[in-house]
Amino acid sequence: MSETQNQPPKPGNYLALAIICTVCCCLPAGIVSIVYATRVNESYARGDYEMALAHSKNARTWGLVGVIAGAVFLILYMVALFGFGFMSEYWEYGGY
Amino acid sequence: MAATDRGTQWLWYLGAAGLMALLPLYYFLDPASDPFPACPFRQLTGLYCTGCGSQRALHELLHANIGASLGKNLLFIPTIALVGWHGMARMGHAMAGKKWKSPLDHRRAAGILLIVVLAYTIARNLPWAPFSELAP
Repeated sequence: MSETQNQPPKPGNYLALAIICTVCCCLPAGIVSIVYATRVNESYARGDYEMALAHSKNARTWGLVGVIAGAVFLILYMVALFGFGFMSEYWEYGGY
Repeated sequence: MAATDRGTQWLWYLGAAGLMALLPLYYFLDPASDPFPACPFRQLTGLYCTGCGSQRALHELLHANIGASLGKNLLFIPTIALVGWHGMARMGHAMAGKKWKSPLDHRRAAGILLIVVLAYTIARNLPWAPFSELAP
């Protein structure tokens, strides 16, 4: 890593967010986020701070989109589950 | 580095609170049999994604069945251990006003993770004997 005196600190690569996103079932967005995380490091190692920052923002956006999409899906499902919890037997055997 | 995580800090608290609220649910209901949401990715493509089996793995973990949990999703326990440790250590050091270099900050971390995730995802979708064990 080439660090000069006046180079700003490395932008976050939001890797933890990306991991959670990937394993908590929003695979495509999680993968994109991880890819951007690798690019943050590459750009920063090259000394291209602007590019690293841009990739960092992308990593964050994709990670957030994935996690929020997953959470919204889960919440909607939970609401449906408890709203119609008593109908689960019917769902299994009677169908729609 | 610690400062750059501030942008997602609110999400960590929200996520932790949400997970705590859901834990009893995952303890008492078994995602394998009770009606739980299947991943949209699985519904759309029929493939297992990286996180497939995580809900069942969490259920097994809450019942202290480590082996069964790993059987549902090999990466689930390592993931929550890694991310949990990362989060706790970072928060602890931030409170103490110190900087802490997480293994996730390592410059190869993202690349290694990408390879692991892709390899794992492809492997668990292969129908042959050694790989099919990885399917949930």
